[in-house]
Amino acid sequence: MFKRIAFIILMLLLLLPLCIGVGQGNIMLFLAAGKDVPEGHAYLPGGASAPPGGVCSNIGQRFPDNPFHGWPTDFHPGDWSTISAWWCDPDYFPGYTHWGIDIAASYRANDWDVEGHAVLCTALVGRIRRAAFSVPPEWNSGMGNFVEVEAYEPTGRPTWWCTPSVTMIPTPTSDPTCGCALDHVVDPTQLTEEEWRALVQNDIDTGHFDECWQPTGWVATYMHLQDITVAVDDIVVYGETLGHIDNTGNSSGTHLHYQINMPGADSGKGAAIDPAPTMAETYSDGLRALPRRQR
Amino acid sequence: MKVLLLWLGLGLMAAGSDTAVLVKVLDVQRQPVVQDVEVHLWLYRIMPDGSAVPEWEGTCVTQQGECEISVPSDAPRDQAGFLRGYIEVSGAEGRRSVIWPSGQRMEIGIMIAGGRIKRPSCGPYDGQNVPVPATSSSTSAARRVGPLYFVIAVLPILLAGVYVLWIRKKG
Repeated sequence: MFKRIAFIILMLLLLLPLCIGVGQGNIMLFLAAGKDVPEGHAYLPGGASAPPGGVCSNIGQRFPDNPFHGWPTDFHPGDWSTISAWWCDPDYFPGYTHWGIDIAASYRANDWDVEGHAVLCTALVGRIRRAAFSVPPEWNSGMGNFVEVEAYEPTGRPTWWCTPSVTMIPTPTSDPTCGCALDHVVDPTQLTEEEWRALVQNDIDTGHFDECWQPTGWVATYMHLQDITVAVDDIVVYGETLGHIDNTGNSSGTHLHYQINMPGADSGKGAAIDPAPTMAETYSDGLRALPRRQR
Repeated sequence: MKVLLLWLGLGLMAAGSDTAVLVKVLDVQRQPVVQDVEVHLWLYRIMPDGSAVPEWEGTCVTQQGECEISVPSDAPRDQAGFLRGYIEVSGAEGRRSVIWPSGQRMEIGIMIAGGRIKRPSCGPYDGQNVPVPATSSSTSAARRVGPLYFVIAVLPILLAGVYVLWIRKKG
């Protein structure tokens, strides 16, 4: 009798990990065979893992290291009447927490349908981690067509590729082809968006992007898109179009779901944070935060 | 003395109200609902555990399709200074969430279609099945109980049973 009970307990302990897995919805059924996948876009074999959730006690909290700034759409930037659901909004679906912010039509401004409006990159510099376009777009765990951007920051390391075998003298130097483009800027906070784009492009063109910029681990996800205009591993800059707004995935109206996750999202631990505080900021605020990130 | 009174008056004005919500109510033909319509504003008080308790802030009645609700300066706001809540319209089902930075005047258009407040929204996606913290608010989401909780609850009972059997066998 004693042995039998001990055996049952042992079996229960063995089944414990499976119970946890099922309970958290980790088992996904996804049939990818024979689907039309646009060139350059990642298909998500085995199903997309959705960004993890956050903690509602952090509502309204500003995270100084959050590298995302500004408004992620091209219509009515800064118009809070376009927000139809906020982060941790209790008036969301019962039983679910809204780990993002929804941007939709503004009836005040007579924008009845925002379908097709551009979705914009909110990182000063970023790299496309995932760009999932699927047919039908209901796949991807309800996220529809979505783009994930990981924000990058300056490495701040001395660079020497002008004279690598002779002196190893670090920049800055007067030669604009030497070192990182940012090293040549006296006051980065004064750069226009156009100048910023040119600066990043310079590092890409010289082939030194990865020496000048490093990933922060912060990830922004833009969901329910109509189309995706970037591909995985593309370098994107602030204000660049990532795709267009639609109603794909588990969605009941045209809107953008914008979500920011802290570092660790890769391992399923990078919790979502409230995007509202940094949405109230601007591109210039992002530039002013650069010196802090360059430490 | 006059200066003192002026400052006092300005101070009282500032303390009374620092923001307002202008609500435009529209019908499905996108025309203003001009007859008298009651509009109610609720704002959430965010508790330290992340739960949200709604508080009624004011009501106004539309004239020419719009009306304004003044928000008192002591209205609840989050740690970043945002006011978060929802708007209800008498005679219409549903709510429209609102959020805006304090100090700003919020203008919002609300469309009534089929007796409901039209609200663009999204369905949940996998990964959102995380419960909000327990709250006294009637609008809070229900806590989900997974199989893990079941196992954790049953395991001590089983262990206690084993212990009893072992004692009996020993005795």
